[in-house]
Amino acid sequence: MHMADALLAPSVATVMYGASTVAAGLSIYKIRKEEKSSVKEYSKLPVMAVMAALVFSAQMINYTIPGTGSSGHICGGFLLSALLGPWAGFLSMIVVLAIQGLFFADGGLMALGANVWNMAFYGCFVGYFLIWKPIMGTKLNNRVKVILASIIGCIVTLQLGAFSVVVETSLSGITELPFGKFCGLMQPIHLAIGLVEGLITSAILVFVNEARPEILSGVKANAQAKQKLSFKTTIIVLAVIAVITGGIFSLFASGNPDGLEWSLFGNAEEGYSANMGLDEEDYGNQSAAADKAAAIQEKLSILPDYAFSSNPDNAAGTSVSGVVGAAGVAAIAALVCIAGGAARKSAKKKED
Amino acid sequence: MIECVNLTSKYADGTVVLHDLSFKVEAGEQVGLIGANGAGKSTLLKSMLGLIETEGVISFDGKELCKKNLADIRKMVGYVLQDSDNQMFMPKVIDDMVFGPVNYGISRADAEKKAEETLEKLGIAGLKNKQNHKLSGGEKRMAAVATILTMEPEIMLLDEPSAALDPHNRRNLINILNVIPVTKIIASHDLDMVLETCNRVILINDGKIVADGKATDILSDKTLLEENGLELPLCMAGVPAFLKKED
Amino acid sequence: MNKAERAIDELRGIDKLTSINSPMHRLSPLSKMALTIIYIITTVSFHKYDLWGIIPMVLFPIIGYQFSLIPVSTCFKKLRIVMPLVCCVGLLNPFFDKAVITYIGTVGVSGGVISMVTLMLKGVFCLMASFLLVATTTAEEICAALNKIHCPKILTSLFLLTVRYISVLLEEVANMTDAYHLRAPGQKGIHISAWGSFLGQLILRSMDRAQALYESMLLRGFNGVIDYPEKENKNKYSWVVAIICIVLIIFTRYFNIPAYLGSLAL
Repeated sequence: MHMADALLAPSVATVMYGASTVAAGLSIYKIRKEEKSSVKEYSKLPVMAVMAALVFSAQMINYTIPGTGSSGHICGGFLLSALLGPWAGFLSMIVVLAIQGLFFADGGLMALGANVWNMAFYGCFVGYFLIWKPIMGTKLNNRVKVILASIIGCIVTLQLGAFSVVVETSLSGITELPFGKFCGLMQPIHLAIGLVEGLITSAILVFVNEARPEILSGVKANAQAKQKLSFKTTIIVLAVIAVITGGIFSLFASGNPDGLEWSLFGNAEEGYSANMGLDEEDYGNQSAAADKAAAIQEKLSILPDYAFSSNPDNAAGTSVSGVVGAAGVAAIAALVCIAGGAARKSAKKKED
Repeated sequence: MIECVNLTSKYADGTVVLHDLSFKVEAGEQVGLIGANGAGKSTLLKSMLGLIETEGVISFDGKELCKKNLADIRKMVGYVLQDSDNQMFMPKVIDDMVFGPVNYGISRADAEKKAEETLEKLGIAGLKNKQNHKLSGGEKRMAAVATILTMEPEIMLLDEPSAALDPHNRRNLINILNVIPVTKIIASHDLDMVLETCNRVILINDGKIVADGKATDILSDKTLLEENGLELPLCMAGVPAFLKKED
Repeated sequence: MNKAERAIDELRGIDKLTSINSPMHRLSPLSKMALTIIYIITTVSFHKYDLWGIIPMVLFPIIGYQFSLIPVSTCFKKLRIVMPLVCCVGLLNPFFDKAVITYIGTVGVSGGVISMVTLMLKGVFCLMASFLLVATTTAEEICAALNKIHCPKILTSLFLLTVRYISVLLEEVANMTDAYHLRAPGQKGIHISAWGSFLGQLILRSMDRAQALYESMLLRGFNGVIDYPEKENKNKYSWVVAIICIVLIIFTRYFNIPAYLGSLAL
């Protein structure tokens, strides 16, 4: 669910960069403060780097999902903040995302701000302050706390992330997909992904918690008496609970704003906007909303070309010259490539 | 001169790792620190650098190890880590070699000059501009030794310096260690190397000093070594039994 | 070859590309970054129906690749990662935007098809440009450039340290994966019984590694920031080249070259 450059309008990308920069600035400030007050000065940087590298590498591990034949992997924002705390976790996650975007083409330069927001911000801050910390503060068994926090944390943060992807793409006017339907598509998929990630993360954190509880952020290492609770049964019970809640959630998610029926059977431009609470002005991006309205209107008509048939000559005229011109550009591009290739070859020969 | 008096170190859970250790190392001495896995060799080296909280007194040239002297002592003592990857954290070998000296106030140009000389001395001048992650295990180890030598330490602590080295590089390292005229403590399981590089050996087991004396004496004492989870060095053991039968 | 090994290979591949000496590599990193970002912003800002207008944008990266002595095809392997989401979003457009807005010959083409193709081209072009930047600029150069524009050092140091340790940890993950599969033939991934311990073990070891790393830095006088050297033997005319390119990019954005060429030809 890394955003690509192509899916963002520059204005949206800039806003996301701004938001992420503010969060990063705050994190740096907090870390500097922490370092000053702690006995172990400057100890954060190496841990952050090694953990960032670890999360990056961990994404290369495939986890078999029992009974499905498919496999999942982790994304890591939540894991990082549980290990390093939210501030250091956020900075590490930025670096992971930047490396993915730069070296592995996963994401993009311009989309980095959005990706940081969608994955690092929610995973680290929302996940930590609203889920991890409150749950760790309860009086439950340590293992249950870790499992609950991981599963809920991953599901919620991924839902938020997926929702942001939808909002950003829609605001950018990239997709013709109505907002509600896009949501209906993304949210359930990410519910499943979040659940799997939550289960994997919980398994990892439970292991770490049992081996070295002092590593986890915000967990009191009070060596709570290990209660007999088989790891496997815990996982299974929680998985069942999560699947049930997930099912209900997705019913809501896809049942309520489902734009599919309306748009296909065309019963309501107004119904759609009313239902989504969308108004052209409120929506913030007039052209996108207008395009959508046009798209929906288009589906109402029997002949798709009806609305534009008034000046076909003009359109055809530009398009023919456009095709010719584009072909010319393509030819130039090909020539450049061939020439460059030949130059490289001759240079190589010279070297030999 | 290094002096350790009544050194005791405990883990957070109460396990005692070092047990009332006392010893003295004179300037210029080369001391081998031997003992089975988990005997406390690495812990001893780390506590000498103030990386682990310990009870007791450690002093270098009369300077006691405490917060005030920490920076001075660390500047004076070079420590070669067990895993070179943890030591080589900069992108390139040369950057890593310069890191220490620059932090201790030497200009980058001077530090680079020094680094080049060190590489030359070790016979690995070719590694200078190589990227750390592309080095082989042996090259990494040699480069790690080089990073410490660039800091021109008066005392060197080495943790398993010959691990992961091929015979050629191992020989190279032994020669270098024998040439550098600084006080050294070498913790190792490579008893043959210890025999070649050290004139004195400290044998520890379960965090206690079992024997401390001339290298040739301790390393030829078969029963002592075997009681403490070690074996005679190969060069002392003579021709192994399974080879003799063949004749 | 497992996933981690493939990732190592990819990193090595980029290392190899950045070690080439070419005019493109010699441009100053900051100018290259500015150029790349402006290129991407401009490309993305094309209207979704402006299929013909966007096509000349391909020339910039393609010419860039020639000057960097790297074949354009090198970057196409990377497409498999970004393109799925772009394609998913793009492929739905024709279903929702059926209005015919142009004709090729006598065949009507709907807005959805045009916007789909335009979107995919945007995806490809952006990737070509950003990969060109990465292939001609090392991570250290990028960070030095970022420091120059006052990006906090803690971030750039963290970035470089992470890059360094990624190769170490990828290697560990690759070895662990191999070791796992040698003892669990026929399993596609990590079985649920080992979900926690597989990565958990690595986390514990990595925490120890981080501690050792911290100690080794401390012993060599680490004081909070790492100063990475900034070499400046870069081309003096970098900014001239960059500004010329930026002007050309903006010209391409506002002047429909194919339409003009076509009108000349017809």
